[in-house]
Amino acid sequence: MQGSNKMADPGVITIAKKEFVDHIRSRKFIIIFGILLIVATVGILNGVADYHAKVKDYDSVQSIISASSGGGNGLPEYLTLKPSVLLVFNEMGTLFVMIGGILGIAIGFDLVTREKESKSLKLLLAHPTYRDEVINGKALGGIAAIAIALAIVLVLSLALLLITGLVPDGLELLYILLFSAVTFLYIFTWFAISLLMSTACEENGKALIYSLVIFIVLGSLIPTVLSTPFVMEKIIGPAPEMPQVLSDQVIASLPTSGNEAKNNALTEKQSRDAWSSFKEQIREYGDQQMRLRDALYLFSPNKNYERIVTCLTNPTMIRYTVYFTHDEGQVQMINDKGDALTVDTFYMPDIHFDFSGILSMIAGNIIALCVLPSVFFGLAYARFMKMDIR
Amino acid sequence: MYMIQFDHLSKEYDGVLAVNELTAEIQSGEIFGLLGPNGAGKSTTILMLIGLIEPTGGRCLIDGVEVARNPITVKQHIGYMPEDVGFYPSLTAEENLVYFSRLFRMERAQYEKRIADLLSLVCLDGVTKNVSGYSKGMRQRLGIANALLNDPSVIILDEPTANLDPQGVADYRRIIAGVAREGKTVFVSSHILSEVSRVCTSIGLLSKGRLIAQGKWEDLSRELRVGDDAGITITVETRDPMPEFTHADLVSATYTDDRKTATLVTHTDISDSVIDACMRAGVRLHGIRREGASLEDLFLSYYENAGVQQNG
Repeated sequence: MQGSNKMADPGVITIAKKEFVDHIRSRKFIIIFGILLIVATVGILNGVADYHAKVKDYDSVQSIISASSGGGNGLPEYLTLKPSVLLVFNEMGTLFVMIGGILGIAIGFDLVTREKESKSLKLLLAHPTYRDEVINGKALGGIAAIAIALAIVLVLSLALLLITGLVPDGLELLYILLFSAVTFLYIFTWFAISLLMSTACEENGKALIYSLVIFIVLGSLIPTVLSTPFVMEKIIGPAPEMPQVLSDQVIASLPTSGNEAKNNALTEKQSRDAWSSFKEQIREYGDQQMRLRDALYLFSPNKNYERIVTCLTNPTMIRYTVYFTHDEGQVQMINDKGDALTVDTFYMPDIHFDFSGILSMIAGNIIALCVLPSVFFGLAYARFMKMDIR
Repeated sequence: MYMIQFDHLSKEYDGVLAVNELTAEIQSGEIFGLLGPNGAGKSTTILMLIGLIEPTGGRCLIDGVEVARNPITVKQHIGYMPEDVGFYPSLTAEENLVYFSRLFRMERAQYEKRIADLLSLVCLDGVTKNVSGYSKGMRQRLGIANALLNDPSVIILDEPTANLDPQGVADYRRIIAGVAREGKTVFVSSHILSEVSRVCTSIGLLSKGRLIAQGKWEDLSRELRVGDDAGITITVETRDPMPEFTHADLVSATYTDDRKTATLVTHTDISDSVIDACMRAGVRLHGIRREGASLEDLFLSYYENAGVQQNG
């Protein structure tokens, strides 16, 4: 019998090291990592082009604003923001929704089923190691592989930025780090989900199929279905009805008796009051829809990630997306050369695009991206600990 | 001091008793063979013995330590080879053994020498290909090497010769004999009696989860009067209820409830005597069929029959 060796790694580290080496040696990891690198490169290069275009637009807007008599007073904050280098990461983040999810699934789906199929699990557990060391070691190995892949992508992205002459400042670097951390959490979420499938299934094929089905259902199907007007109406009730608005002149021209329209028609003043009340109700209804949608999206790793990426890399986009329906009017500015800038102004809640403002917009999503993988990993852990080995 | 003890050990799967009140003791240094047909509960017994599944009743102990309560302590003392042993296919034999050595917390200097010796012992030294390219026999050899990796005091082997060629079987017997000389306890499960009888110093017969006999091979075989020759199974079908057959060479007789069909396991062909008995009793014979009976059939039928008579 061998005595214990204080210098030797604990079981969890031994298992994690082996899993990590297995991952980075595996063909599937290398292929998906290669795709990830290509996606990152394409995303960055497209992003750089997009950034330069946005800077050009911004400069022309600024020249009009500075020359106009109003000096840009009353313009929404998002129009006065200079495009950030972070824009470059926007497209990359959008592409990562798909490829990052697949990378997470690819790393996790066969971690346990592979051992079941090769019949090595029984042998592994017959050695002096606890079951929790096995599942934790597998998770650590996967996490290390994801972290290494992302670190390489991050370094490559920063190198590309510098090569193209874009140098992020301190705050932008902080955003980039946050973007990377969130991307890691997103990939880890899909890793945890596929690990759960791996503990629940007996074969690699089934674990992969179930993981992909969940990817489609949680990633797209449920968010899409739940946010349809039909489902929304079922949950929060029907939208307020638009009042019948007729001018006094039109009302007067209607036949005097037996006409329902005329009998029910409001006076012009009443119509205006009803219309402004309707606008208030529809805005409230829209906000209610938005809150519900945001709450439902918290259950989707993809939607959480998309929202965080948008807020971090192109925060004004979230404003367009969210509040586009609440148009309040237009601001028109004309400079001394006669150039005109017409700007739609939107319903603007009191949100700012500084770090704390952005963070407050995505705090819920970040928490969700921490909770979701914890829940799925917890389920995988519990399932593995109770699994019957025969 | 017993090295392995089963104390009313039971395991139930979905209302079915896979192992039923198994009680047995195995001395230190013994080579114990657990014999039984497929589905008798041998693998379940072993899985409880190595702490991979928990008993639903009773307990098992290795060197006085209860397995279910101290599985890690027990696992440090045992070497195990499962039936249809599996390794990591993308690794070589050496890499697989290095990984498992680390799980035993062995130091590099310690495991490098040990692995080289073991691979040489099972004739896998110099094989550099990944395990995915191994035959079942090669995996089985590697399984034996792995079971000896931590120099265990108890070695547990589940159907160790199932996939071995004759040379592999001979090597396996040589290895087990060497291990036994070192005073280690070996627990082997098999459904091949001839294999168990050649290697083991004592045998337990397991049938439907119950241990129906246990003892030295010499004692059990003496009781049954068998050499290495197998027996005969005679199936008798009659149109009328048949009488009780008796014969010196009859090992066991099993009758259907209507007593119109009987299965007789015998040392020799006693068909003539069966036909005579039927004619004397005025029973119309419908058919009689003879088949070779394996040594395992003889053993099991004898001891099952003995168990039934004892219980009855």
